[in-house]
Amino acid sequence: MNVSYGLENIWLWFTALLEKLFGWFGLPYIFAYTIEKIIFAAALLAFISISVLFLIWMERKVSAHIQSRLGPMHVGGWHGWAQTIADMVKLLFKEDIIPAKADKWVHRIAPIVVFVPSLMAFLVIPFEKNLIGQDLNVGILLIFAFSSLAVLAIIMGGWASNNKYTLIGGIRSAAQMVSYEIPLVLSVLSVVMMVGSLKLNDIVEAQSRVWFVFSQPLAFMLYIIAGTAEVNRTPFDLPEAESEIVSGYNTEYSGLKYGFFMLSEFTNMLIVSLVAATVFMGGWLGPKWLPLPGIIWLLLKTYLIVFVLMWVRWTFPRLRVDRLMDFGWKILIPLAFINIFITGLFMVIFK
Amino acid sequence: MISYIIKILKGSWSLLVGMKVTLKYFLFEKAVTVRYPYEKRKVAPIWRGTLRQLCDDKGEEICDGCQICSRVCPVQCISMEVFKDPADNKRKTSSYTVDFGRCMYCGLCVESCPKKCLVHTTDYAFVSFDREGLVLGKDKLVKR
Amino acid sequence: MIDNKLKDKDGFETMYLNMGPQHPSTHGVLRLGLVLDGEVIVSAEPDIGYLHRGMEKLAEHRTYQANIAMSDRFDYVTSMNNNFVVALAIEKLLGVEIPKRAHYLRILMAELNRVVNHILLFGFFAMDLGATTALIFGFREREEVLDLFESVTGARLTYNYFRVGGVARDLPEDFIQKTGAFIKLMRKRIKDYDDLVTNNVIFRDRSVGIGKISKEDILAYSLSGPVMRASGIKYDIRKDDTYSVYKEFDFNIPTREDGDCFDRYLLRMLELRESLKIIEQVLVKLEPGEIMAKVPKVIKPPAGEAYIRTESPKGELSVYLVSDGTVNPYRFHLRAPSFINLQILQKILPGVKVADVIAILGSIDIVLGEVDR
Ligand code: SF4
Ligand code: SF4
Repeated sequence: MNVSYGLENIWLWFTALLEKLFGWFGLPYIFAYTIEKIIFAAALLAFISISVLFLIWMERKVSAHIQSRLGPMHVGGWHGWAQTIADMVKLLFKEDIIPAKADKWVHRIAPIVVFVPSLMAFLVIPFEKNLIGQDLNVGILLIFAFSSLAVLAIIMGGWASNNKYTLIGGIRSAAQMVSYEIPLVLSVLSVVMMVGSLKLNDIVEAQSRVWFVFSQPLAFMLYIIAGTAEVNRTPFDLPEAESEIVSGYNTEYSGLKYGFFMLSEFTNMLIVSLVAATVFMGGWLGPKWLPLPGIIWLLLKTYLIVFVLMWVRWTFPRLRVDRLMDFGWKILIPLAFINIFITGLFMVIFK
Repeated sequence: MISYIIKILKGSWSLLVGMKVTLKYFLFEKAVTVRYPYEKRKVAPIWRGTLRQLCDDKGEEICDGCQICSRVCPVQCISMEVFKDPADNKRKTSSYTVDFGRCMYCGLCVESCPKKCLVHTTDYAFVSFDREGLVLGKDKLVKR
Repeated sequence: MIDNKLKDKDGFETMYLNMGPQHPSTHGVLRLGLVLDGEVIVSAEPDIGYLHRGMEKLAEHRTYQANIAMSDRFDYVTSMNNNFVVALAIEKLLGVEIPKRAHYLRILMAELNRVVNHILLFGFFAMDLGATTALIFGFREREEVLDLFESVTGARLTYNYFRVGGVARDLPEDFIQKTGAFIKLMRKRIKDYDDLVTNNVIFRDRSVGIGKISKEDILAYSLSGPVMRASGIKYDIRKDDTYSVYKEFDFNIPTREDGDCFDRYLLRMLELRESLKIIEQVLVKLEPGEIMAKVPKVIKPPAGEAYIRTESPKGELSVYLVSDGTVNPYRFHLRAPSFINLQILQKILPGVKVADVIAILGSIDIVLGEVDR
């Protein structure tokens, strides 16, 4: 495709310039490459932190308007846009409490362990065709691999805090994530079968005619449901079910560490939506008659899904833990298998 | 099998109906809250706020220290000292304090006052940094 | 205290979980000592008393009128109903007849307060199951009623509206019209409630069949109110042992059969509709007239005793009042429905999951102010 607009041209021009510059100085390509990647990572981090701040603000606003309220209105002027920044600053200055009988090191490490994998998953998401950290040929697999690491941190946090509520939260989370990982991967599997590649860019380009959300509606539904469970949002927010186990695995965390848990939660939500937009809704592809940069299309789709997730969250009650398992194993996984089977059947028949 | 699928469909439908309700409120309903310090909601004229003592037209206190209000109060938060003014031979209060830390704003004192000189105000924000600040004496209570 | 060394059914160690007094959804300061086998309750023990204020003893040192003011604090959600029962008891001791309009006003307020209680239950119960929006919806509609109460009594929570021999104030002129508007709004909102919560498949999943209370248990534990009617016992003091002028009104007593959390919830939603019906009838029947009977300034009932039963939104709220002829009661005892309904927890909690504990607690509808007094 010949796209002559977008952020990626700037990026490509910039990298070419950098490589030429390094070539003049007679430095090997690897230097230029490293510096490119560092710059990209920094930009990615900035993007993530701004998005998360925005997401938190948006969550508050969406919930407020659903509930006939206004939400934060004061800090920053226009509709309280600076409220989340103020909250982050507050979290930074809060006292960091480690419970006396906690496993200190595990307690300290857990917030980092929870945050790093959610960052790593951004590496392979194509914001535009060439605007991508690294176009790995196992892209989608890498995302799921990393997002399943988060459960480790949650168990660590829950166990190390030495509190029964956090323990229950951690155990619940382990059970939930393990069983919802399966439908999550299976739902994407049918798409992968149709594309024949795990590379996210290939998946996007395969949708230039019709989005997978139309050709694989069941897979999309399964993905959204399992994804909601994966990021612990209502109706699957059992690990932090407020009315039952106080705040779940992060009950004993305060200050910046709590901030990390919260950030990672919203980062995960962003990833789930980004992947959904990429895999099912055509990623950076937009209609030809409206030449906007691909990243804009991607973000529009992403935030549409984010809005749906929020909307769901503020509508539904929470499932109970055994019903959650039932739902995962007795409804989602069979449906995912049926979907794969049907997809395979179609592929055999129409090939 | 069929009933299983019907159950799933019915369940999904009920979820969609619920989502319709929240979307309706998200899109069309106005917020019902009040942005408190900027706009204040009007309380009813008979609001039972903090107590005040009224004065007559000449700026003299009406209260004659009959002690009915302090006796009727369920939490005994009104206290006063009474003396007989030798000038006009009337009973008057030399001190009259209400401990708003204990007052439960029940309004019984106001109702029972025979001179109708004890009234509720309509202010609902009354704060103080310490407990002593909640004990108001005659200087604050008497509205001239 | 529960034995910490309790073993589960496979002989493994159990976990002792202290739920409350500081917990987001124990409805105040209830403490539940739970012995857990995984997520399943092995034994449970409610522990009360964190909000004990000694109200019954305090009552012996207050005048009769002051006792009505104090009764606002028993169950702070339904102050009007508390006022009602205390006022009735004192009037029985005194032997005064109160004017017609005062009767109607009392019933109007009591039923409005029942509406408030049931709306709040809707919100809290849904919140306990995780639906936050429902809570805010409940509070939003409650606010409308509180505005009505405020325009009549001057307070939003502790109304102190009932007097010995009548009520404190007459209605402001736009009250009837405003109440009519509220009833209309409420009917519309109930539809939203049903769409949002009652018919929701997750909500039903969480509440149907959870925390069943059998008829025998109801009778054995002397449970009352909606909890009793949800188990299929059709008994409402407003009808069956009527007081005030309830017999003039036409309303049904809804019952349900299963006695699980969902039935208890649904029963309240049905009762809410009945209450709206009663309010409508009161509004039609109201005619101008006296609101206070002639009672002496200083209330000194003759020595004797009185026992009055009323149907508060939470169950049977009764007062036993003994007078020795002085200005203060000699003995004041309250039969608090929340307190008595709470006992059943110990019986039905073992075997359910942690999440169900919250649901059951929410569906029984307790207010700790009344439990501990
Ligand atoms: S309002 Fe009630 S509590 Fe307050 S001073 Fe008057 S009688 Fe006492
Ligand atoms: S009842 Fe009225 S007149 Fe009597 S002491 Fe109190 S304020 Fe004064």
